[in-house]
Amino acid sequence: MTPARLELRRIAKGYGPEGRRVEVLRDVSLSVRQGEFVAVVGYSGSGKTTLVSILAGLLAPDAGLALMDGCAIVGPGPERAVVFQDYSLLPWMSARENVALAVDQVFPGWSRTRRREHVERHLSKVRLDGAGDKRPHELSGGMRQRVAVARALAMDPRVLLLDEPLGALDALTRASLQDEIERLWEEDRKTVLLITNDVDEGILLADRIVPLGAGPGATLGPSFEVDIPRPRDRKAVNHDPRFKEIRKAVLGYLLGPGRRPAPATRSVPEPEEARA
Amino acid sequence: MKQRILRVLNAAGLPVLEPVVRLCAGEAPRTQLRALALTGGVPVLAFGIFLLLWSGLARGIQTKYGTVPTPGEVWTQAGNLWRDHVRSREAAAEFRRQQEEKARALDQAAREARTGATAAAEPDRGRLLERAASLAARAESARRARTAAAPTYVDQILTSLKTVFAGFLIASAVAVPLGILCGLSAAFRAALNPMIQVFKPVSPLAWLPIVMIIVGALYTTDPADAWFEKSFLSSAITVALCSLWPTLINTAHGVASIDRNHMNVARVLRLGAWKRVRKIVLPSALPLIFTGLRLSLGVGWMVLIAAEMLAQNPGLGKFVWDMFQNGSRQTLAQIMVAVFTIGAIGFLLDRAMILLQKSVSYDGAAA
Amino acid sequence: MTRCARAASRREFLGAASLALGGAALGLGCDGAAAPPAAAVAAPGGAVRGLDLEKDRLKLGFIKLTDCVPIIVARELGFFREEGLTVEVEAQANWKILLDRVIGGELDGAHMLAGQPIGATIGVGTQAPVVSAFSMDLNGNAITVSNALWKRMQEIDDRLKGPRPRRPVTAESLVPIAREFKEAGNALKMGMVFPVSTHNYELRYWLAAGGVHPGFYTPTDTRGVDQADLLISVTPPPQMPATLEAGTIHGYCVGEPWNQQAVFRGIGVPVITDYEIWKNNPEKVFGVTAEWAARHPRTHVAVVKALIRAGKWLDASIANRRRACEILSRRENVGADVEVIANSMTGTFEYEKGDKRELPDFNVFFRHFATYPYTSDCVWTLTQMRRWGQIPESRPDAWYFETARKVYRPDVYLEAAGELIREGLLSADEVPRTDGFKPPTRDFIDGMEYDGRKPNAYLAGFKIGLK
Repeated sequence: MTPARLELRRIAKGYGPEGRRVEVLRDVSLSVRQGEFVAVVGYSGSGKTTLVSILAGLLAPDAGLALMDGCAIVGPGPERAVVFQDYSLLPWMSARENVALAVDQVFPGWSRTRRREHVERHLSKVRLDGAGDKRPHELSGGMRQRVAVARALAMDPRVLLLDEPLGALDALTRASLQDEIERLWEEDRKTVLLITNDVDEGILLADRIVPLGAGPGATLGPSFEVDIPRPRDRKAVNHDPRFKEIRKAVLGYLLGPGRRPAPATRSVPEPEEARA
Repeated sequence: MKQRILRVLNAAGLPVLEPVVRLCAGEAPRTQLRALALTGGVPVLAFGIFLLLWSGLARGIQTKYGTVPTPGEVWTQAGNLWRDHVRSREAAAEFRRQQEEKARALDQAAREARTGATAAAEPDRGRLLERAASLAARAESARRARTAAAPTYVDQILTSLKTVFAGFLIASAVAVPLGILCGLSAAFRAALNPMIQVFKPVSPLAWLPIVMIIVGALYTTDPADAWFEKSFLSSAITVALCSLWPTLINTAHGVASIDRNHMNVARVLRLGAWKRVRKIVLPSALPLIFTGLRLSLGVGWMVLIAAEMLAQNPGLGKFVWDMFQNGSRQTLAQIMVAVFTIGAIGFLLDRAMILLQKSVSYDGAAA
Repeated sequence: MTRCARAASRREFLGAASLALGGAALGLGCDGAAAPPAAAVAAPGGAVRGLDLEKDRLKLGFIKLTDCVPIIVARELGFFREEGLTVEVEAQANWKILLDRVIGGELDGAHMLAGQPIGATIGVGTQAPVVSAFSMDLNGNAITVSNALWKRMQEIDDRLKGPRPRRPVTAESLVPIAREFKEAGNALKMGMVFPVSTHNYELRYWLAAGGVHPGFYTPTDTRGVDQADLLISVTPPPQMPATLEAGTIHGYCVGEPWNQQAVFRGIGVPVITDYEIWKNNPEKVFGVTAEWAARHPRTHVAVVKALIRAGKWLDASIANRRRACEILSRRENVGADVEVIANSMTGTFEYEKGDKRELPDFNVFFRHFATYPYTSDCVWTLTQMRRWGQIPESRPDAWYFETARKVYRPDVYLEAAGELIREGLLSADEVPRTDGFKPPTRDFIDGMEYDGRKPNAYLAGFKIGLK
């Protein structure tokens, strides 16, 4: 059996000096198959960014293993592209230059024309053809996030990690960008891990939702399969019974067992496939 | 059209003139006049009151060295210094003209000697050729001759500017790389920090004798062929030693406080160390680096005047000390002219740095 | 008209035209001089002088004191130019920097204290062989005390009372005053301009002659206050009036215009001039490094020639002196007000406001063979250096003569004078015929006899001082 594209085994991570240590994540396990779109939904401050950072290789866990394709993740790299919450675009470079930075770094062997084409293609993928020369401070929040996505995709990563990418945007821009993300994912069917605090967003975009309990010592709850056929209709969210079922189940966990920090002696959880 | 002018003014660091432009365009005159009054009228009025107070008090204060000069007297001295400068330049031009004439005459004589030589026979021919050669050489010297007039006030200002820029360049060349290293490496920072703290407060007058001795010992080229005078080097190096600290500290700070997210981008992309510095660290730290440079230039200008007094660099510092040594009736007024000149130049240098900073910042802001 | 004559008349025209402005006037050699950088010069009289100069562009330093005037005048009146030299003059901040820059090569030569070439050669202060071939002037200093101190002196010594006190004023009245100050815990303080300056030696001579011990320099005490009744320290001349007024020092010995400045501003009283301490004492010299002199012998002679001419011009008439005062009052020269400079340069000296005396020899630039570098003058400075301990051990007479011969270069002077005589600018009787030693003299304030040939005997005769 091929190893999961991404795997976390009993990850624990805490911050702070001895004696005043805050355990952010405790006993977190997760498995993501290739081509899967997984959404991790949870409270703010529950350690979602820590989770993504460990997956990205930016942080090392205190205990447990983080694996990609069966190999331990020892550091960050362009094969696990990250879209950060605050875009992290380099403000002194134009949109094009930001994407080009990634392309030049990941594909040094390519000719200059090929690289340039690659950059342009990704800019038009996110529908920013005309804005390539603008600097981030001249772009709106939504446009900046699209540049960040373009940059991440241009790296041709094996995994795309999205850390609450739409958190800083207003509802309308969020909606349009959610559609963009869906569309882009459909094109390449990359493995995506989306971190979000919006359950509806998770249901709209993901194949599977995994709730993250409240911290400290947060841990992942059972997975909830989202078997609604794609393309999913945003307008149907409030009416479709399946939407409502899944949402109820996820919220039920988050507001119920997921709300209290689990006791220290909790046994190893299997990634349950709960059918609500 | 108006928008374009406004943009240019803003970029040039002169937003004070904005109300003028808007007034000319007929926009809301009362608002514009009020703005003008605040940014333009009030300072002018304040300066006028200052001048009046100064005039009044000056008459009243009697020192053993004469009265404190009034603004009028200071203005007169400034005029004298300017006139001296103009006269000196005219004299130099006249001298050049005369030297040219002399050179031409000598060349002519040389030519005659040469033609005579072709017609003559030995040994006359040899003698005439020799003579032609020496005449031509003298013509060359005449052409190259310069007057030995004392430097004028304007010459001294230019010397000071050249020296401060030399010192500033040396300081930047040392401080920016060191600052980057300090910002990137905690070990380096720990190593350098005690030395920075100890050397930062040292006054230029304490550095100067050491610098002069070292320059004197090491710079042994014959003064006739040397590119730089020892006094120039001593002053520039002292300026550098005193003014490199703001740049060093600000650069280190700027480099150390790079946004964590930008570093994460670099890490995800696995940028090499050199690329990281070039593409992420430096551009991110640039605003703070420029702040440091601006502070350094300001400090350098102040230090320069003190350094020149002792190092004998023929600039404004030497002017002040020489006039003090004169002890004449005009001394105080002349020194006040120097004070205003030094202040005005310091102000202009600062503005120039702000302009520079604006032009390189990516969002037009000046930190 | 021969080619040569045509050239000569062209020369005259060009020479005359360019004389009006600063700069090197290069003329033509009628007889086809040898390879450059030869420069034959047209003098106003039309005579041609040929000189091979090693260097024709010089930078000379000076301190803003009136006795730098031979250098300034030589430049202004074109004497340097006529020797083929383009000379830039630059005021220096203080004596130490001036000496350092001459030694370091940034200045070709400078207006120096008579003691500086000597001190530098024997290693008192910065060490480097410096020589002098020209004595710039005799006399020219005075000792000024604060108004308060003068009043106190008058209270003690009746001879000093009245609008025109008996001169010369001795330091005897300072003996009890110095003791008073010392007992009060705040010693009497006096300033002078440099450790090896004539001012230092004259001040000490005057004090010792009056019975006040000025202090010794010892290997451990470089301030020179060992066993002193008062404290003598170095103060830069422009700061002397201010420090006198502030009470930081109670008197100083300095050159002009600083004594007359004190009178004009009412902050002090010059009590005695150095003319009264030792009539016609050596004061300033023109100094260059020994290395420079060795590398530029012809240039050295040219400079000395121009300086001799300047000296002669200065002593020729009061009108010349007045013109010199105007030139000196320019801000790039000495810069003091014309009246202040004229007060001492034009034959008088004002001791107190209203007490102006005839003192035609306050500054001597040429008379009494003032420009000749006498070996005995050099020996005198050496004896005073020994007297006060700057020379730590006693030395045999021969050492004094040998050192003097190293520092003073009458050979260069005589060569320059010889050329001037040949050019008709100097007469033979204006050059002394001497072996370097002036005859023994008693023209000192304490009447001691000084014979340059017997330095150790001279030293043995002093009550206060090392032997």
